[in-house]
Amino acid sequence: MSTTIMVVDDSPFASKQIKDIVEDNGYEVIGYAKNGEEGIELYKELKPDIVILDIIMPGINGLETAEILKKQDPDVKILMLSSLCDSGTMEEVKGIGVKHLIPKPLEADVLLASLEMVSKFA
Amino acid sequence: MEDVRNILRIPNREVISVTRALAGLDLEKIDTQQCTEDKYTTVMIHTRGFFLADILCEINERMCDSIISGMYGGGMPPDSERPLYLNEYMNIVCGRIVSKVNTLTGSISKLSTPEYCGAAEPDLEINESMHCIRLAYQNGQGLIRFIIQFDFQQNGGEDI
Repeated sequence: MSTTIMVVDDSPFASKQIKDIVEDNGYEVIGYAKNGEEGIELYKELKPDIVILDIIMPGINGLETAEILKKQDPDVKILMLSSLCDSGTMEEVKGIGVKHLIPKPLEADVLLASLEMVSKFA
Repeated sequence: MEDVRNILRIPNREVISVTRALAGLDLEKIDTQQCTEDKYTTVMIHTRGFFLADILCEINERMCDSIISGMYGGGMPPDSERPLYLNEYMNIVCGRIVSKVNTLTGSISKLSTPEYCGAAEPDLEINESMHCIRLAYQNGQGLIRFIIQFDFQQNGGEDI
């Protein structure tokens, strides 16, 4: 059975890129949300195995969204994405209890390796 | 503080490498005076923190088509998604620039979400007291230019 993924990103480019990369590699994207608010609601409905969450989004950003999701479900598995990917951002991500952040533009091997880490160890 | 000259080199490298990675386009740097076309689509991003900047990207129609089609993998997304592709392009270019500045200076700066302005006149007032980088490129089909107006917050951006 495939590992299920929900993507929260305001960019249709990123969503399409993720779908193209993951779907031949044992994952199934079962939902998309364009912002944090939608993502929080959709998570309750879909309960995916992994949430891929962009940081820079209009409205509730990815960091705030991750905090809310973790309060609702402490076992939620999150992989964060950002074009802003430096040590300060990594510290912020770790500060809210998320261990995995990968940079945009996405690279297929980095995304797949990170998903494997998240599904096993997050 | 890190030499400003080292910071000035970052945007050119990142624009070229991100455009190649995202859209498969090789940009050739040109003199900004060569950008004579008067119809551009504009996208703005602002930063806050140590590296305080307004970044304006102006893209002519043929370059818009090239970038969007390249990101889409050939063909075109629905018209309603075209601004979102340009916003993501700008988000990634600027995110990479700011990440490199943060790493080089050991500081923290953040990005706003991109603001697609379409053909509207950009709301950017040139402030002579700030640093300004102007970059222009062509790819044989279209033109793209960036204006990066920036300064450094003396408190190191601790208020972000």
